[in-house]
Amino acid sequence: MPVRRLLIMVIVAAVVGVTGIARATVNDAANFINQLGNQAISTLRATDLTLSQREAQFRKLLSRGFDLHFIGRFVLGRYWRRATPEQQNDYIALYGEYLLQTYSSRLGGYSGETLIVTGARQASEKDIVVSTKLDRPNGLDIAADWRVRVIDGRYRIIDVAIEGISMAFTQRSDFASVIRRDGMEGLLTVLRARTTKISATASIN
Amino acid sequence: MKLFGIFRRRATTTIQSKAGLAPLLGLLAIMAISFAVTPLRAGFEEGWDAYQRGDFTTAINEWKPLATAGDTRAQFNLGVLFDQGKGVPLNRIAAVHWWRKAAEGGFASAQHNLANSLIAGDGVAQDYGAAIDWLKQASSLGLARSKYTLGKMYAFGLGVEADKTLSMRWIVEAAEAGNLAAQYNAAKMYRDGDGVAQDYREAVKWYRLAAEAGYGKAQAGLAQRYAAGEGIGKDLVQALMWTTLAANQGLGRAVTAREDLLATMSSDEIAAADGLVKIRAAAAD
Repeated sequence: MPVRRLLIMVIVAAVVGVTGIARATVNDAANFINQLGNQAISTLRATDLTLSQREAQFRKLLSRGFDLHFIGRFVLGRYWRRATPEQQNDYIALYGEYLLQTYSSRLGGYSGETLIVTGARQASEKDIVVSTKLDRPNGLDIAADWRVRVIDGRYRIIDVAIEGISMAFTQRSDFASVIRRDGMEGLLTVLRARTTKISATASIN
Repeated sequence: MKLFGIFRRRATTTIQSKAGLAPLLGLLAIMAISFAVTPLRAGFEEGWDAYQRGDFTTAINEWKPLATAGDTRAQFNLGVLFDQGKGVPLNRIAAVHWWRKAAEGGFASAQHNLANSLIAGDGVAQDYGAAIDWLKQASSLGLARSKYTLGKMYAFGLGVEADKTLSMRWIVEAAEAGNLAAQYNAAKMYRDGDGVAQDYREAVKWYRLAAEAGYGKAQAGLAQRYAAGEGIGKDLVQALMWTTLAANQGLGRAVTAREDLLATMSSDEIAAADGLVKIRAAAAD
């Protein structure tokens, strides 16, 4: 009996130990998103700044939080290795710009929002998904799930799913169809075109 | 009888006021026209204030009537809101609709954005030829970004025959107008003798302009010039400073180049470069 009890204790300790580590990581990931979210919200509330200044600050936060290189490579999939080093360089620079512009312009403009972490779970061996709810004054709440991984000793976002739709997987299939049609240069042209557009203006020409 | 009397009097009054109404109506018409012009401006400003506050629904409500009435600036901004999904679900077809109207009305930024939608095939069928036409129109109105994009279209032969010389001409025009990406590209083309006679000094000139303005890739390029001593005296401290500034912006190849440089430099040189980086960082804050 004592042996069995000891065995049970060892098993319980092991399980608690494992879940303890997992929970600690899950907690850290949730804290990481929570902190980033709070910083983002305070940026958005800085009404003494112009919209483009707020978007620029929001963009800096995103560039620190997202692992743009990791996401960029994932999104390109098997085409990454087929690209020349020059194309890879151009692609990473353009993709980073594209992602930051897309998210800072889509999310950076809003004010009066609150980000609430609603949960976090171990999604795979390395990844934790932190679920959040972006409360908007107009009632159009958004559910966003952030996939977080420790890369080079830092917590980094490697994907975000808005209302359950993964950005990385959506872009991966979009980009693949462009590459199949127009090759790698075609994709670079599309990204260049999307990132060079001019934003709203009060100027008369 | 009394009742009829009242009716008669009312009828008379109505006829009398109709007679005196013509000048009044004229006045009202004039007022209506002037009111129609004033709210056009007021509506734009109110929309712009709302846009700055992040209240995109109000911005749309203010700009939509103006856009419908033909105000090109409101049309352009409405296109941006649809393209970015601000205050409305993202809708690139609607963005193209409003940009086309503003472009046809001669609004250069709308011509540029419409051209880029045509290049990417976003909200409209891909059409490089039409994109080139719009870019040329916007360039003729002085838009540096369109000149740069035209330069790229000639470089890659999209919608036109590939032509390095024409590409260089448009890119230098955009660079001279202050476009940072164009300055960086002009630097590379001078460095490689691409579409122009190779000229390291010109390369350094354009790298420096964009680098000083904070353009990361140009900072890395300028660092390379300093490290190689091409077009400028070799100076490893300057090279390390510029490559560190680029690396601090997250530029991968600058991080690698920085490590390579560090391995060849003395601790005094490294300290000097770090000092320069700090001065620039302090000045930028």
